[in-house]
Amino acid sequence: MMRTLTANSWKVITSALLVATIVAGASRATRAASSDGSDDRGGNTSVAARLGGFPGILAFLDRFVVPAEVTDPVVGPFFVPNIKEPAGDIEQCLAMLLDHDLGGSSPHFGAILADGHQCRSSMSNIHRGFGIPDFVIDRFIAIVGEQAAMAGVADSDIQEVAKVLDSYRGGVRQK
Amino acid sequence: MRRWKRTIRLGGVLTAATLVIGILHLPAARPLLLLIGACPVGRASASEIEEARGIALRALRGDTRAPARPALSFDLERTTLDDVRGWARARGIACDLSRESTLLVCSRVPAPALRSTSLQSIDEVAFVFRVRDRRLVNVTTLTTGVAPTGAADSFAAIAHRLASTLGTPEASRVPPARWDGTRPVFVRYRYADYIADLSAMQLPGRGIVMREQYMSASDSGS
Repeated sequence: MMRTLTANSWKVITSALLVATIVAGASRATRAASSDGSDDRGGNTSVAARLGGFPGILAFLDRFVVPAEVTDPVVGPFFVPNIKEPAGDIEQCLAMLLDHDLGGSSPHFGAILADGHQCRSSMSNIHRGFGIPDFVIDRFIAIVGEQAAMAGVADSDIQEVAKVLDSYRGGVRQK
Repeated sequence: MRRWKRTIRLGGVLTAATLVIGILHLPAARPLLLLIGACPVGRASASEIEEARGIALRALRGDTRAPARPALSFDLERTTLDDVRGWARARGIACDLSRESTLLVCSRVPAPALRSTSLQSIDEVAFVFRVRDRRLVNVTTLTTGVAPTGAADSFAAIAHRLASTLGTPEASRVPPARWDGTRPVFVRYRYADYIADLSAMQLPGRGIVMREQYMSASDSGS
């Protein structure tokens, strides 16, 4: 009887933990989704605001940057999941990071997206194992700058975006 | 009998493991998956990369056919992997082949070897080959650390050569006099079967970065 009770208890505890994890993930995803609609433009004169805040940066990444990066022979393979899943996790996290670092109101890291993915804080951990050299980072930033210029973004804002992207270089290179 | 029991136990363990892995990949359980180190699967194969490139090209390409498809000293959808390796070998250019023999990256390439009008050596030339027959579908060059005057002159020479073959670009912004690189410049051609891009801009601490890209945009070439 005791043995049966113990076995059943483990089953109940394991099931409860699993359900709790899934429910927690779903509720956090809902919170993130509801806060995504914020607009940075109200009184904010930052570069992020001029780019349309998080939604504007995400749309720019999704519509212009990702297709251009995917066609690059060297950078492209890193963006394969993004072209298949529009506005996917990486784009959303990068859009939040750029928005934050360009003066917007997005969190720097830790945001939990609608699908449960949590944006990580460490560039080193994100890029670990890829062994990305400087030339690949140059390509990535040059494509972002090229697409921003084609989209009509102001030169000074493109330089600010390039500076912010370049500031991640140390965390991305040869990890 | 013992064997049967072992087989049944093993089957049970495998079924349970499959279920757990499946549940972990449900969107709501992704935080837990990340806690245990994320999914080890995800490195794209050459076919997946080609499929993704096809999706991107359909979003980027234009409506009319290109009058020509210049790609430095190569022919898109005709030049083979062996042709390019032979070209590199004959000139003593070092190249690395990867991604199931669909990507060849060559370093420090003299511009004349590519019949490029660039005034500098090219740091890196990347060639992409179609999965099914290893024919060339994309050539991209990258040169970093170029001085503004040299970059502007190279840019003008390459843009002029493209214009003489293809006519007026779909969009362009060329370097003005006394260009310092802080204003990004570009030339863009978009056709149903071909895309060419040329761009240059200043990157923090890296000098001016120049990039040329020539690619097939036809369904058969992507």
